[in-house]
Amino acid sequence: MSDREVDHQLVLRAQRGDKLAFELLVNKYERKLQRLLSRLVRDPAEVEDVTQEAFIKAFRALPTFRGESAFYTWLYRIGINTAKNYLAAQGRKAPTTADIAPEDAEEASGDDLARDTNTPEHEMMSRQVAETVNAAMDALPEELRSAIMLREIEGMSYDEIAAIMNCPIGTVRSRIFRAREAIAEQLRPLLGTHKDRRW
Amino acid sequence: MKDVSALMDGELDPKLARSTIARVEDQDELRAAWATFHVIRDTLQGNAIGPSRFIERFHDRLEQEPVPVAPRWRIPRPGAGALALGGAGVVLMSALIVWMSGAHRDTRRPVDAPVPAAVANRLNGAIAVEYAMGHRQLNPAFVVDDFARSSEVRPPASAQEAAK
Repeated sequence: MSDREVDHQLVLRAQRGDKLAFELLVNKYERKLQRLLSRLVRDPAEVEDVTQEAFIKAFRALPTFRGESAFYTWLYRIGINTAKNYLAAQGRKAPTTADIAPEDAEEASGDDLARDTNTPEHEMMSRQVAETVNAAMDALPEELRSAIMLREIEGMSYDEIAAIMNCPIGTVRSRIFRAREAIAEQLRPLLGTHKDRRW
Repeated sequence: MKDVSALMDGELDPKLARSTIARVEDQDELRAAWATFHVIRDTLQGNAIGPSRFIERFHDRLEQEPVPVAPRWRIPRPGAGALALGGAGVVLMSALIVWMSGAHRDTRRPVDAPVPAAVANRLNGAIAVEYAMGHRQLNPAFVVDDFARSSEVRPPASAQEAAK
C-alpha cells in the first residue's frame, strides 16, 4: 500500500468518525504544514495557532474531501487559505510569495523554517533535535545508516535500496526499522514520547 | 513496530497495512513510534522542529469537535480510475461479442408472444412492491401489501374463459 493509499485509508477512517485516524495524519503533516505556513505568518506562536486552525478546518471539511487530489495537497490549500484569512483579519498583508504551491513546501529547505521562526528558544530546541538525530545517525553501523539515508533522503523504495545494497528486501526493511529504532531511542527523552503521553 | 516503519514507507501489502493502521490506533506504543519515526523523517529532510505540545493541544481541540457526517462522496482509491476504465472496456467488449454472435436473440419464444399471466403477475407484483416501498418511505401510513395486491396483473377475461 503506497504512502498516498495509507493517507487514503486514514482519511476514510476519519470520515467515519475515527478521530484517532485524523490525529495520525496530524502527526505526519504537522511539521510540513508549519514549515509552509511559517513563510506567510512569521511569529512561531502564530504559526502554531494557524496550523492548529488549519487542521481543525480540514477535519470539519472531511466530508467534502473527494480524494481527487492527494490529502496533503488538499490540506496545504486549506492551510494557505487559513493563513491568508488570519492575516487579513489582522489587517496584515500576506507576503508576495503568498501563493505557495504545495510542492514549494516540499522543496523549501529546513533553513527557511529556521530563519522564518527565528526565536532563540525555538531555534535552540530545533537545533537540539537535529543534533540528536545527526549524532544518532553517526553512531549507526554503516549498513543501517546507508539504508535509512537512501530511504529518507534519496526517497528510494525498498526494491531500489535492495538492488543498491545487494541484499533481500526483508533485510532492507529490517535495517531501516533498526536505524529508526536506534535514533528514536536517543530522541525519546527530548521529545517525551512516552506511553503516558498522547502521540 | 517493524510494520509501523514499513507502513510509513508505503511498503506493506494492503491487508497488512489496514490491520497495522488499526493496531497503531489501538496501542500507545505503536502510536508513539509512528510519531517519533515521522519526527526523524522530517529532521533528516531538513525540517527539524523542537518538541512542542502541538498534538496534545490539537487533541484537546479535536475532542470538542462533533464527528463529521458520513462522506457525501466515495473516495476513489488511487489508481481506481484506470481500473474502472479497464473494467468498463471489458464489459463493452463482451457486450459487443454477444451482440455480434446474435446470442442476444431469444430463439425459444417469438418476440410477440404474450408473457404468461403468472410470470407477469410475479414481475409486476415485485415492481409494485418496490414502488410501494419507495412510497412507504415518504408516507409510513402507506400499506404496501394492499397496494401490491391491487396492482397484480390479471389475465384477460377471455383467457380465463378459455382456461375453463
